[in-house]
Amino acid sequence: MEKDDIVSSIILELRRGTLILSVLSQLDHPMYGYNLVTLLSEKGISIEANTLYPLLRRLESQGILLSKWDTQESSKPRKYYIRTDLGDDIYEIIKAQWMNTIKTMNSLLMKEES
Amino acid sequence: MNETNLTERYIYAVTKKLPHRIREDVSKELTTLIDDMLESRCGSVKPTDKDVRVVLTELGTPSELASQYLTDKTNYLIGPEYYQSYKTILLIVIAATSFGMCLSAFMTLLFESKVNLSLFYLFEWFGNIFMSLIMAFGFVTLFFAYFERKGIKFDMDDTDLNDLPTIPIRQETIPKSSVIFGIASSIIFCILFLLIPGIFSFLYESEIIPIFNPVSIRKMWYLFILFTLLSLSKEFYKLYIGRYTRNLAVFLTIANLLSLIPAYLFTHSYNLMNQELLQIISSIFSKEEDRSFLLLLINNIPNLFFMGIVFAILLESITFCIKAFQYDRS
Repeated sequence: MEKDDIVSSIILELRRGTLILSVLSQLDHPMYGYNLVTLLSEKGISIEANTLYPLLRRLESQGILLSKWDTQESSKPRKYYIRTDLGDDIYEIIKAQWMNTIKTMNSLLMKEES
Repeated sequence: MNETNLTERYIYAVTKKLPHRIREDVSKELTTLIDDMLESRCGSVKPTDKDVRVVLTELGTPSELASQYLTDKTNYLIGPEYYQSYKTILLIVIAATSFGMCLSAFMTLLFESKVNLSLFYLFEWFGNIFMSLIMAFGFVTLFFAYFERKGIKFDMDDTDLNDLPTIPIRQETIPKSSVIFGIASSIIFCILFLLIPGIFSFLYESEIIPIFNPVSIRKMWYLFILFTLLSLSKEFYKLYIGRYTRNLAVFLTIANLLSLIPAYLFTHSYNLMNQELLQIISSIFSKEEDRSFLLLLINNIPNLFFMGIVFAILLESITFCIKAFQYDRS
């Protein structure tokens, strides 16, 4: 395997771990899928629609998200997602875990640099 | 091509791979998504056919996209958990079947004097081998697919550390070679009996006289299959557990007792013995007492055969149970 391939596969692996947290962080208010894709990409997180849509569905089946179709005649039918109470709890726990991980990783990596 | 048409066809190709209950929902969702993506690409300009193609390519092939929705492991016919075992068993079964088929073809050549070695015979032989290999493949695959669907665990439960099995000392393990021999011989026995029912024969004045009636044997093919399946299940279970345990001893005894049913039905079926044989014996021995003794003996061959099976089965069950109770320290 080429060096570039190895690097990109590791980066992909790292990013994959952060996807759920990124998505959950934005869903304190109702959003539809494509809206979330563009919003996250503006904030520097790239997620493909073909990954996000199935992911949202999976989170919904786990009870973390709730969805509702908005079928107003003026616009296209859209499916909006929002965190449930369970989703809120889980988000807070994972967020704390993430902060903790950053701290640990930073001290691990900084020590290496110095 | 019309762009709406292409989008619809794409969505159909994705959703037809999904479970019915989510199809309509996903279809609606994808329609709006593709519309949004085209809008952000083209703004208020009407998207061209090329734009549609770019957007659909971005979403991936329909099967890729569908597989993202299908993360359930129920979508495997035989999942990673079983695949290794599946390959091993398949290899053994295929090898035993090929060997049995070759052996039976060879035996046919020896026993049946009228066989002419024509190209036709060769084709027929290849055809038979091919068909039986497909059947063997099918049976093994079917079994494993069933295990996968039902989530039947092969390995011993290892969720609790205390339940981890002790490291077996050498005598406690069932030698793999004996199990493989068992599997191979059951399959070969079944093939030989079904394909060359005249395998138990003797030579009389340069003519081969089968002991059993080949027509009756062929008629009772299902009894052989049942008997073989029972012994195969025994051997496979031994292969998985790999050591003498009480559970295995119970399973083995039950399977052995069950296999007495087809054995009994076969040996006690009507017209099992070759009538020709009885006539020949009557004609050879002129003395009445010799004749009646031999006929009695011949007529009792099925009984002796059955007793032989009972003896073998009892011997296997008893020795296995003794070993299991001796070595199973759980």
